[in-house]
Amino acid sequence: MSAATHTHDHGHGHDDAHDHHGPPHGITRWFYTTNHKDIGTMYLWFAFTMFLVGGTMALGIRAELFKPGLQFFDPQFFNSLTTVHGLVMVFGAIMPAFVGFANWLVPMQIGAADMAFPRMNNWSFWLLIPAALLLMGSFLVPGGAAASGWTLYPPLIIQQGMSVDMTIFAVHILGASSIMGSINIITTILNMRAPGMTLMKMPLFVWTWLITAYLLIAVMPVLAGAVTMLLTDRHFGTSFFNAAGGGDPTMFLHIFWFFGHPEVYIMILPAFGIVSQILPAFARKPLFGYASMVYATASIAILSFIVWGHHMFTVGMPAAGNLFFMYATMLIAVPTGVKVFNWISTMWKGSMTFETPMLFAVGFLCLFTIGGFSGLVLAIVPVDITLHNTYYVVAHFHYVLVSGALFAILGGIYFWLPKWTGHMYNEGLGKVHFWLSMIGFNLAFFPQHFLGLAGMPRRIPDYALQFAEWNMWSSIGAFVFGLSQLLFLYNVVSTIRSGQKAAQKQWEGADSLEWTHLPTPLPYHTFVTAPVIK
Amino acid sequence: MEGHEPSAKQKRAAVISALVLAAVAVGIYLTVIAKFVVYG
Repeated sequence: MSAATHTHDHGHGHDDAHDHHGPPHGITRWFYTTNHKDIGTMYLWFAFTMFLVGGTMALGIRAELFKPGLQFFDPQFFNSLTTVHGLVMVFGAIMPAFVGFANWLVPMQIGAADMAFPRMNNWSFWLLIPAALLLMGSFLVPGGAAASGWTLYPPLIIQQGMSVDMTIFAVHILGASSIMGSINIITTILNMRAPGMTLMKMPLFVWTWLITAYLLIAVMPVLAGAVTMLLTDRHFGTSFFNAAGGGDPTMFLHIFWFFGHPEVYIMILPAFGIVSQILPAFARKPLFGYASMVYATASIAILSFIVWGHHMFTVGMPAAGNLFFMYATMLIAVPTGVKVFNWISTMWKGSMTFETPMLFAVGFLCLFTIGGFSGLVLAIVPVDITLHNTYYVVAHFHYVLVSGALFAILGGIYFWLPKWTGHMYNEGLGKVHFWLSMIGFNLAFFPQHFLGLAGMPRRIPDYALQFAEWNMWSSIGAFVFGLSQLLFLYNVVSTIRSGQKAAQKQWEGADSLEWTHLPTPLPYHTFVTAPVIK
Repeated sequence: MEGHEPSAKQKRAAVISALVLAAVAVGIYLTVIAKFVVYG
């Protein structure tokens, strides 16, 4: 059961009156800030900027694939685009966006004044900037940006130019930032909760982030270890992954995917948390099966450590290994199914309305489930051997990460924007944004299932004529989806500048502390005295 | 006025938690590398 039903407004009606000093003025506010709201805002704007950068690369890819033959880019540059698009979206857009949500929401939802380590919080954010510059700057060095795919597989990655070193350094910095952010989130949740806020009263968003932060601390050092070894293979004469020196490129795949599969859940568990806050608010019912949602989230996180081999069924593992990874992967459908069941049960017989956040949450539920099902298809070893490295895989993970993670982010921003800014967004424009995103996304990625089943390989700039028609539709869909995000940008900026005043509890069914205990707009410092949760 | 200050007990617990988590992260990193340096 979430906290709200156990709480009452205790000593927080005076936040406005006590907010004697607001934020400092000028650019130094943002450089030196230790305020969790400021840092959350910076994370979200950084993530949106990187989303536009990575999205522009995606549109370049889709423009090239609009018709057969080489249109705009040479194959090397095309591969650089797919590589950096993946890295930017994973490490620059999706992950920082969720950290932005965590910064804004975790302290407020547990009744804390701020994060446990505000200065480290500032540092975690500002590390992102040099990492992003290194990643983008790698396009400008001789040989162009890394072109091995975001998975940085050897031997190709060992043979490329200095852009790879820049990428490796960027990954190290991003990893350090993620680990510091995770330490901050865990220590805040475990130590800074308001009196009476027991773990099982925390909103589900906080729970999903607690589990995600543990995942990050467990797997980011593994990625850091892998890329460190790539670096020493490239420059210091080691042969960890270099077959010419007795190393094993396949070993890199094992290490990378031991990080890589939990990374998928790092990008989706906070989305589960956001959706678990939105659906009850607009169904005007408590979340169905709160405890089972917590246990399912933890189960998914634990299982994510034993399924990495399903990314590499084609490398020649023993049949027993393939079978283990196949069945372990299918097992993840059980806790995920619990979650989908609970979300549907939350909506069942609810007094539902469909404002923009709810539209994105329901869109998430429908489309993420499709992505989950295609994941089950790919978990089947003989099927995966056929579909490996085809566009079916591309369709699958975009259903998980775009209509899953990104739709939850967009829905979450519409949901909390009134609370964050004190202004209400344009509902009509929000709905247009949702439907254009929904149509554009499905037009872009559903045909890729057909392309993959027909045998079109991924990461190629040219293709056989038989794939032309679905590629054309996919590219049209991608441009509709991509350009519709400019509507979102316009809506957010106009909300901040001139939106109508929002109510303290803008959404009738919202029940976490930021809605029930804090005014709108939020004061710069919240919870002057700690709330007591009954 | 800023938000309520965490108690000394909370601050101490937070520092201990952070140190343990940082040690875990560094330990995992070194273990991954040491495994391959020692065993190939």
